[in-house]
Amino acid sequence: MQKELDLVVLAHTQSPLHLAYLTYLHRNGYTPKKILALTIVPSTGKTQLLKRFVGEHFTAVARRVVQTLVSFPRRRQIRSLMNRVQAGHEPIDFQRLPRLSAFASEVEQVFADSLEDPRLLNAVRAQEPKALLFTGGGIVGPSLLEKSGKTIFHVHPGLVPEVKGSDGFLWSSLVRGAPGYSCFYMNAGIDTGDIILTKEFDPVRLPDCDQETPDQLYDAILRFLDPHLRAQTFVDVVKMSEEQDQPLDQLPSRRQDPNEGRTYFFMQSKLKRIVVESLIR
Amino acid sequence: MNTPMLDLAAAIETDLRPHLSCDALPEPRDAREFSTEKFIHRQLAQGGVADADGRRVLDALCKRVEVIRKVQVGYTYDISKAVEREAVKEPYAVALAALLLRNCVVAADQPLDYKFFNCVLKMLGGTLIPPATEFPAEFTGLTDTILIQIAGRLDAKRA
Repeated sequence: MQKELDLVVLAHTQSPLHLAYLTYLHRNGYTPKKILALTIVPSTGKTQLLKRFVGEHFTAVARRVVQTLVSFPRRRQIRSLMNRVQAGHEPIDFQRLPRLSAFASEVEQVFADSLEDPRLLNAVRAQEPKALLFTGGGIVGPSLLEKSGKTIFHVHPGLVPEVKGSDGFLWSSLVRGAPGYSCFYMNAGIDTGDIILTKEFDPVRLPDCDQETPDQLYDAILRFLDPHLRAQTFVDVVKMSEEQDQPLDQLPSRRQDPNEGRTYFFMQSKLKRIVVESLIR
Repeated sequence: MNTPMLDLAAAIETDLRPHLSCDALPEPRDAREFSTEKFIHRQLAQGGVADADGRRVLDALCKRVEVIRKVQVGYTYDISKAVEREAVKEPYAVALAALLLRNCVVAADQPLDYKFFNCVLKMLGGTLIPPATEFPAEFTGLTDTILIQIAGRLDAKRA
């Protein structure tokens, strides 16, 4: 018996993260009240032209088909790597997109040019639950944060405030020796929201991945491993809400001092290679 | 290979000595609020080891290097916006990299400042928008040594 949560999941369908969040919620007996299935189709160049002639839905489908065809020759290799990177976790097939209706009784499609698109804001604003889980990458702009009336969850791959910013998984592995994740209520700053929960994981070891280049492995970590750790962290938050009998949008949280900790940027390739290679030894 | 941090600091001091002096720098240009060249000049005149305030400024300059990809002559007091948009002269860009590298090692018993180190790697890798900055060869030699150190430390930590 699944328990319905007073939660909307803004599922960024072009990112593997949404699948991990929804799968973990489902496996732990939770169902969000609604899924907003977000597809971002930017209005630039050829895409704009295609959108005008065939509409957003078919443009999105065409983009997905092209991406599948481009990666098709490497599909088997990617699948093998996906399975090896997920070792130690109950696997998720990130290459197969399931019907989102398997995860929630209500699913609404939303097309947007960007995260700042007013159509997205209107769709979010129209939802009844106050709590929203954002499952994509990218920076959520002020319109969603300030005008949607929602409390937005984000899980960041780094223990804040110590590790904020980009490439959190790698910086955590370098600075702390193991990945750490933080769930917070988003605000306008970069990873400066009020902290609900932090979670440290054991150091990652990927001994079966020594045939891949550091870039391939880095990509696989972001696509197939990081989503597991984010989703586990979020499920812990949901369980905490249940144990404490607190609504998801009113969980106890602690304010961050924005001057505390460090904000890291993308890791330079030489340093990245060293960190990634350390994971396979 | 796991040279103690103190040795690393000594190696940095030795290899960077010619670049951690303000003698060869041109006269620093003034700016309305924060002058980058004056800051760098002052840091070098004081020996190149930044105090807490100096480190905060270096941290903010890392953002200018890594996100904006420019080091400009003048910023607002909090270094959040460029006021004088011209790039600093090449010797100052090189001196900034030397300062960041010197301040990677905080103290013998503390870990490396990886953020500063990452910024130096990006500067050497050509992240700054032209005019191109030419960095002395010893910078690359030193960063390669530090990378080997980091790999050794990661292995030791995970063993």
